[in-house]
Amino acid sequence: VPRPTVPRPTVPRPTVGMTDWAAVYRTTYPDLVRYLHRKVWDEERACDLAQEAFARAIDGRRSPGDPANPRAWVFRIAANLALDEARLVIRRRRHLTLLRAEPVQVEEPDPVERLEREAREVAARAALERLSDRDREALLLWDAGMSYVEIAEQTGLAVGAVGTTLARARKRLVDAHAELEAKHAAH
Amino acid sequence: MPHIDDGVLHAYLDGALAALGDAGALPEGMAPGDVIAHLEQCADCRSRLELERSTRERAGMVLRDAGPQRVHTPPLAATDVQRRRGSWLPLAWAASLVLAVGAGWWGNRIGSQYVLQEQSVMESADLERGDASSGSAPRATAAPAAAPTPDGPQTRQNAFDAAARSHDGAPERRAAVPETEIVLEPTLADTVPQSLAAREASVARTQQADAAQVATRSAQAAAAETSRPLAAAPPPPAVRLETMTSELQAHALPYSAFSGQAGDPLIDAAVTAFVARDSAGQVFWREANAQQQLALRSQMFALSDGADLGFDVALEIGTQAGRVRQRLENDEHVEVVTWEQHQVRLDELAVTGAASRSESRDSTRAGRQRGADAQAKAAGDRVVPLSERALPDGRIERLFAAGSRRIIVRAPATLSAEQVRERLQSSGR
Repeated sequence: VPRPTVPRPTVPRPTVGMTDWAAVYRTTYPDLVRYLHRKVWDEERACDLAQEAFARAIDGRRSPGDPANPRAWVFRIAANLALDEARLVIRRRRHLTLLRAEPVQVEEPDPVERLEREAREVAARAALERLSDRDREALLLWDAGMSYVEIAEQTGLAVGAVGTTLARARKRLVDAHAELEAKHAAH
Repeated sequence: MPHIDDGVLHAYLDGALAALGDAGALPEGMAPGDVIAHLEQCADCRSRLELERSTRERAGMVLRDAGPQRVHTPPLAATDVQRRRGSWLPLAWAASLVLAVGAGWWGNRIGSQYVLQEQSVMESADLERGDASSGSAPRATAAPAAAPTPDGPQTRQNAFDAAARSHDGAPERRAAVPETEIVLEPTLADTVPQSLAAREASVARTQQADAAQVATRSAQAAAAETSRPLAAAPPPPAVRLETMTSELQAHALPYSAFSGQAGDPLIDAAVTAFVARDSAGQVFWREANAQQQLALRSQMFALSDGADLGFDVALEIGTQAGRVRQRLENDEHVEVVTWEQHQVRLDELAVTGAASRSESRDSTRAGRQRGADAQAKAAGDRVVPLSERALPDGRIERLFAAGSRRIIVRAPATLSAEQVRERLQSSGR
């Protein structure tokens, strides 16, 4: 007697807990710090925010379910954190909670080299700040390694508009930077 | 065919033509191949392409100037989140498991730390509903940044209770996907799929290598410091004294105070366990009986011949600290804070299932052995002065290193740095 075919109950596909956060962390953290640094202009704070972003991303209670794209998820959290100045106290409190590392001893660069680097950073910062928020965000996300689709998801742009936005942002950035350099040279 | 616009040219340069094609965002139904073919034929577009390429490269250079040149990636202590069937119901059971397994390990370290991460699985529809209800699109989706963080004991307790209620009160969802888990972090082979085991092992090896590297650096730094007089000591290589002090003051909660936030302790024949949620929402499991408290105390640095007035411990993921308060012969009071970065490795503990009691005992023995190993290793560390500063109350706060540990001593100025160092070294840990 053939056995009746009994439809198997649908088993929900695992969506939580399968993310290799260690791998995500290793591959994302430096880009995330750079991205945040260009938003808050403070390296230590950028590190704090990056750690906080990972803390929240990994915390299952606050983020119910593994995101489909953990890297984009972390960036989204980080972007919101960078916007939210009121969370500073909480961030400091949690800093010690998730991560603590021996700070790396960084060799002090040559003073002249350091001054030049600082001057370049000031100019780059000023140029970036001349961009519109949307242009800057798209550019920073692209530079952090996000794809067009991810940038579109995060910024609300259409995928087809990302290229146009990036083209405009790059041109404005270069123009602004050149203008600032010219002003600086004139002085 | 019309000329290609700048956006598509940049998409070409960015290697995103396929993404645009998939999204139907290329003009006039073009395919990526059409764009490339056009570029090969159209000199005007090729010339504009070179111009945009140059702009793109210059923009990249400006961005490079804007960012940190090098970013150090600190080791990640919390590495894995594991999914598992079950519910919040076994909290007590899981806690007792953790209790049994962790007792030895805990008892042999200053506050080795356990993190119980519990994570609920919600169906995607639930997720979407939750996101939608929380507000506008991208910001609401990134709920973690906007979610209120528990703050204060009552809120913490509420959050803790709410976590339990959220499962008790949703039987229908529990029947479908109620996958709540309490995972002693980090976890490894026995809980991950085989396909992940190799990768996790690789991660563990990497972290061990990192830890070894850090230890080597610390040893080298300590050796270099030994030959220098205190006055010439450079800034502390690992942790800024001010930062460390303020953080410790904020976090070095008395043991009893911390446990008080957890509600009723779980009582076992041998130990008392507390499940607590700290201000950041992390769940900690802690236990101690009199014997274990003595063990904890024995692993902290202190000044020899100083009378103990009490001790506190504070644990965070990746960090552990203990503070011994002492009274010296001349009735002066001294505080000695031992701070250590704690590298939780993937293979440190793996308890996520219902182990038998014998297995638990085995794990306990293994934990004790690890603790003993760590203690033996730490015993050979030399105490090295790093820096000092005057406190407003007239005492001197000094920072010492002992291997990977850092020790803060707040003592009267009558005690020289060398006296403090000698008494730390000979405290007979």
